[in-house]
Amino acid sequence: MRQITLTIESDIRNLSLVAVAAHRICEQLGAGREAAGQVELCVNEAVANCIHHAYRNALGRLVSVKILAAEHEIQCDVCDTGESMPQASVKILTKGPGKAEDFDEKNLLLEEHGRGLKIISSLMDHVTYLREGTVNCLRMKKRIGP
Amino acid sequence: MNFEEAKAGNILVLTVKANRVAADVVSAFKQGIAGYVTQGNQKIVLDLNEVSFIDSSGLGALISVLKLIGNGELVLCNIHPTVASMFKLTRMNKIFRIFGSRDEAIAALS
Repeated sequence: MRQITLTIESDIRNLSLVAVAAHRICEQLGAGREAAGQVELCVNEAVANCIHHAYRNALGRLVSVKILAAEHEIQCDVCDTGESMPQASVKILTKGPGKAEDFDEKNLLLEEHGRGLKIISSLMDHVTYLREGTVNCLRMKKRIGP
Repeated sequence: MNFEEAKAGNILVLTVKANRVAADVVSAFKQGIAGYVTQGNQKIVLDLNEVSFIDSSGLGALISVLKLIGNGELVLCNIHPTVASMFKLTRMNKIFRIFGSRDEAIAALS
């Protein structure tokens, strides 16, 4: 199984480095441009979430992004060792794809925050969130190919 | 973040000189456009021709500017297909007026 792990320090200026790399890696692993772009967006949202929320913008912590190719599927694990995600956020994340109507809920249309997790939930085919020891890990899976 | 400025009467056309609008640059993006609003520009066309990626924080910044401009107008044009997909997914296409070209956007505000 082909896989790669990218690790960045928790500086938001590193965000585009890992997101753009994820896009290119996904294309190399067989994803089409649209799927690779969706993975890029979700990795971007997940890493930004780690930095802003798990680490509360503290510098010097680590965020890892592991990307691996399974049969007809790409898996991305975005992990941190900061504060765990609240259960309400996990519920949004794991709601499942095809829920774009959720963006209309509770006047969210004019809110300036609160879309990132729903974007991940909408674009990825399967999302899980685990805490093992001190490590929080968001696992996102995207089907590729036929 | 840099913007290319052009004027068409009382309409300010801003071209975003970046290919990504994400959390790492969103403060400069938001403050940059907000600065033009606070200078008194009430009709703004934001040309996103060079932007091929926008994340949730970028959308939030646009909404923030939309609120700031109040009774003025902020419209978008030349949106990349991937950015258009993001607007559609998040229903932002219901909030913003989006035009295919700069000329169409200017005509709509004239």
